[in-house]
Amino acid sequence: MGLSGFGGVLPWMHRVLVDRKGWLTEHEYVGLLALSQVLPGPNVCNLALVYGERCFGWRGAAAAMAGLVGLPLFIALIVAAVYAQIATNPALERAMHGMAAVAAGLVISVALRMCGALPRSIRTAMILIATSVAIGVMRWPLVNVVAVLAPISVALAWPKRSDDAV
Amino acid sequence: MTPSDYLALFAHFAVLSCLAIGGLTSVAPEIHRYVVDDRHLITSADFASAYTLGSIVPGPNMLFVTFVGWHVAGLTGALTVTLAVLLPSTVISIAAYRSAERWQTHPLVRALRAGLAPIAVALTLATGWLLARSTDTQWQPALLTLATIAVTLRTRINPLWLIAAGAGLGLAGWV
Repeated sequence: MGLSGFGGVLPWMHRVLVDRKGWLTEHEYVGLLALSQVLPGPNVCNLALVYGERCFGWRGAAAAMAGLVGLPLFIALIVAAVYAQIATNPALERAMHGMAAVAAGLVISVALRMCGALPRSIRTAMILIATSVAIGVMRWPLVNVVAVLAPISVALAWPKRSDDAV
Repeated sequence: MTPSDYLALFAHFAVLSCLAIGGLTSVAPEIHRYVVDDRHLITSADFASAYTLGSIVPGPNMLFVTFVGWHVAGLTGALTVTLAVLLPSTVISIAAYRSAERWQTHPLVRALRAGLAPIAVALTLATGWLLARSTDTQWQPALLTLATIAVTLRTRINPLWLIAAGAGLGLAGWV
């Protein structure tokens, strides 16, 4: 998966874990992603770690991380070493522009798929819209937005007594 | 660079990694401030190219810090920064997940999972939106983005084909 992730690995994580291998349901994926996003550090690495840990403990976590980061890191180091030669090639810039447009579409698609897994409630919709607007449109700092909206969302999501009744 | 310089670099990036809620891109401005403005370790142009490379090279986007580290101090710089960014968050993530497992049914944990889920989805949506906004400054790339969304949602085509198509259209000057 590390090798496929041009423009970011998140769409790939979703594609492999949920769509192709069916190792996680959409719901489970969103849960793990939520956890890895609020944990500090690179999202995608956290997601791999958490998923590896879930399957095989710390060895699974290490394996998942090594797979995700190992070879790409090696490749990145090689690219860094030769970058000076390829940097200002206008053809490369044009190709990158096209790829960036596709990458944007891929990320939005994954987000839309995940929306489908969220419980259909006013709470979810409100938090979803509020966060999206605050980060995407208003461009407020991430930490501030999460610091305000997360507690609100968690408080609203607090399980009521009736949730436990069987 | 002296060993203590490397240590300072490692420490700063390790701390930043612990603050990087929502991914390393959320602290990218702070990284820029530290290596470009504060310590004058690299130029602003180098930072921009590092970020771009991080996006197109296979693998997680967080690898842009590897390129930043390379600009600072070659191979050792790249490895120092990458390790600094991965180590602390790895430890925290595993510890957090294990405690989450043990406390699965606790109302707080359930509320955390349910409450944070829409935020997680919203962050992904916002990231895609921001990417689209910076790239789709004309109707052609915007159309390409929309087409990508439509194709991805409707079919099971491997995204690599879509990315290749994007590169091809870009090269052809259409985008």
